Amino acid sequence: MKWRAGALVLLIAAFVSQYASPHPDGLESVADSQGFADAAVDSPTSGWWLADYSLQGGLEPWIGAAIAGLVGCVVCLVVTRLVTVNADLIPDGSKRKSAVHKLSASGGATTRPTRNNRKAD
Amino acid sequence: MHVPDGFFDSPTCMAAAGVSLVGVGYAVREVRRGEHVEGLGLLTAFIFAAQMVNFPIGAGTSGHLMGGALAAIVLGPAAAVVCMSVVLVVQAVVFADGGIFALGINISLMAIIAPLVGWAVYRSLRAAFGERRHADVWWCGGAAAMAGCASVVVAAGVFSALFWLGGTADIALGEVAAAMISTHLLIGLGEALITGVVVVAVLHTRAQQAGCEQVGREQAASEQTSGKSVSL
Repeated sequence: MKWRAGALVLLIAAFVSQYASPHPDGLESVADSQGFADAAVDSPTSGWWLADYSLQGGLEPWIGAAIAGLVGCVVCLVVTRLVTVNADLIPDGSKRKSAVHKLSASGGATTRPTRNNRKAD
Repeated sequence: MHVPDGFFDSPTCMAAAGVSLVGVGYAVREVRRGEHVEGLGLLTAFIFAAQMVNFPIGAGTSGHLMGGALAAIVLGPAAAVVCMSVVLVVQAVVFADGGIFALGINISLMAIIAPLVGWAVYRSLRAAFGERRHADVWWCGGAAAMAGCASVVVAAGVFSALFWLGGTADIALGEVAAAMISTHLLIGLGEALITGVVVVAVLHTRAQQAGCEQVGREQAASEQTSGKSVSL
């Protein structure tokens, strides 16, 4: 299931995103209509090779966008893992058990199971 | 709603950066200390991917999923703050989408306010109407959809207020707010649709998994968990 969901995510990032609307988004369009769009300045990272979701270089634009999407997904996944690494290293409670607990947690809001009732399970 | 550099003055950016540092720090600590959250990285990647897919909302304008409400409903508010912050930082640093100095503003709006609003609306709807129909996945999807729409519109409203306080252009609060909120009501409809569909899909999957997990368990243990699991 996890792998299928992961494949779907990569598919969205690499291919579905090719069909994204090219129109300005909500904030850009409001900035245009209200006359403050000119206040925007380039981000310090705008010269970066993946800036604006396109590869700088002689590649076909759609290939660049697909690579940008895939790279972004992988970076997001890795950074999230690194940031929450301790959650993965908690020794007690197998992943299987925690999956069941998460179920009940999201059903009953954030009643995060305590160590006690996890062990009781 | 990715705010570029230059829209807000330095004090506002600094204040927002402070707010987001505190908020994200607290959320990361909560996630690390709490139960292992399955699928956090996957959801972060999904939100990143979904944010690439702009949908047209008419009048030459587009919008895309924000995802804060979705993350909060699926994984809880603390995990949602972490997910959204990672997405925004990656977008700003790697893809120059949203300013670097404005990162605090973007995190405050989309990684803190949006998930908290979405989560609060979802929980309130569930508390107000959900008890009798607590096993109905479709009802949860509807509540999630409303939460998604509310999260986008409130974030747009807060942006307008912030822009009035610390924006670099001197424009009346009412004008910016009217334009932002009307545009983001339309984007909110798309947010509602995507949030609802994904929440229904996730709940279906979890219900199936829970069904498998419970096979072969002892009656008492099974009763104890199923009461909660079905309450999805």
